[in-house]
Amino acid sequence: MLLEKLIKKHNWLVRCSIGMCGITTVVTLWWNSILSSIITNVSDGKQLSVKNLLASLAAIILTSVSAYAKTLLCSYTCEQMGHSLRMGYARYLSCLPFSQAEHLSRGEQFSKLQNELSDILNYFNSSLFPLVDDAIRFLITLFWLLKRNAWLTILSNLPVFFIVLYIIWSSKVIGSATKGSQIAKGTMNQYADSLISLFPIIRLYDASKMLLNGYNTACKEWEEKTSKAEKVRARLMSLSGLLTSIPLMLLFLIGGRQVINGVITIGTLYVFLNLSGNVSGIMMNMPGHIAAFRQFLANIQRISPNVMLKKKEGAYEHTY
Amino acid sequence: MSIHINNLSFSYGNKTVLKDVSLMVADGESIGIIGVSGGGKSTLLKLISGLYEVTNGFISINRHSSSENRRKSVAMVMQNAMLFPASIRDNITCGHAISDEILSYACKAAQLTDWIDSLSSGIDTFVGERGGQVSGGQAQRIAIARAIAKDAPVILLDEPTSALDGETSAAVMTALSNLTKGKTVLQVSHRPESLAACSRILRLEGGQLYVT
Repeated sequence: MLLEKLIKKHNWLVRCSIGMCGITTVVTLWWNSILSSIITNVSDGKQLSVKNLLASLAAIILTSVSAYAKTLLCSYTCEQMGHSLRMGYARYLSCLPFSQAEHLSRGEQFSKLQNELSDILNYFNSSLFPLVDDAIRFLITLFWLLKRNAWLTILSNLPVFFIVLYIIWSSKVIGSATKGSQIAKGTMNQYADSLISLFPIIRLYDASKMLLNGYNTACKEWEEKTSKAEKVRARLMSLSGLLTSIPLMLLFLIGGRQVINGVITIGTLYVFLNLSGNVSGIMMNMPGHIAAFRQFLANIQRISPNVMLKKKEGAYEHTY
Repeated sequence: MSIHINNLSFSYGNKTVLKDVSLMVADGESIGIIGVSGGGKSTLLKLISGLYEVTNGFISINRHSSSENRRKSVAMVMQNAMLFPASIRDNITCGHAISDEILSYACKAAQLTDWIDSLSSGIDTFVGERGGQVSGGQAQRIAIARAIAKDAPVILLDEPTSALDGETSAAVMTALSNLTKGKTVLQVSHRPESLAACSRILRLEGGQLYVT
């Protein structure tokens, strides 16, 4: 698969970016741990020590530095991958034998350049590493919370398992609807190409009405499929938003009771609430993330045959 | 239907391709025009067919000089068959209400019947984008069938067999001979042998027409 090849091509950059995401999460958890003890001390009416304040300062500085390094590294990696993709597409086109190049449809190639390729590059820049970062934050935070209070973590996040199942199913439905809309968009673009390339025939044989009818049909089909895809997306995502509020409610209910019973401190509950965004909060964004990822996969699958990442891949390399 | 061209000149920007061209083609006559590639042969056909507007000079087909009327009177087959991303039927009828009888005749005259019969969807088979799902010869014969179905009195042929190999070109030639039967024909080519059937052959050189 093309994404796999891109990752392999930029293996070290990808590894470093993922590593940096992990480091940032660990630093954030350390800061939360300090915060927890500060809140507990304040709640108990105890004075804060200099050691505590210095540790807080160090944690804040480290959080900022690691977040900066993470953003920089991830953005650079995305740009490098995007550049490889653009050059791979250019290499494919330049290595085509003329017999194949002359049959290329301008409409389709423009569609690939304007839609799929730019969508992929936008996804690289805005969503790919945030998604990876979310996954890493989710896993590390979950283990950390389990270590602090396994019972509270399990109970408040148990519904997440069912939510994930729902998300997987809904993202599949959204992905298939999106793919249908994209195919319809491609057909619509073909008509725009025909208008230019077949202009003499359209005039001589008075075929404008037929072409207009065809275009209107394609346009209507695209409109219907896009509208259906958006409706499906809105319906499924709003329901998942409702479902993902359940873990937070459980956290208040069970965590609050544990604080009242003296099982956990108020600082620990605060940390659980503060970090719920890293576990159940990520889940809330998952439908969008997965739908975008599926759309990205659909785009990448469509352009895969037209991208040559390595010179040796081309069957027609050195034809000229 | 006769074609009358008088003092026709045409330029692409500063490049003049036709200079004071005059020609009379009688009803039912078949004229061949020979000339080098880029010499203005296709431009002349596009002007006659009304695809290009006449800026200097005069062209009329059966005394009608407007571009719209000329377009109605001609059918043109070009070097590369231009097919719509539609079915064979739509490529021949161009969306017009043409009877099955005429459609069947056009396919037969264009040597398409056997091939269409062998297709599972028959005449409703999709030809692909830019005719990508049919061969060059088949595409050209569909273009000829389209011209036959239009039943225009003037046929303009712009090197219709030059992009085809020998064997394919033979079937297309038969189709072309059916298309041009009893019509006024103007055919351009850079190969003299392809104009053998023409009653008169002219040479276009330096933007002007000469009798060969």
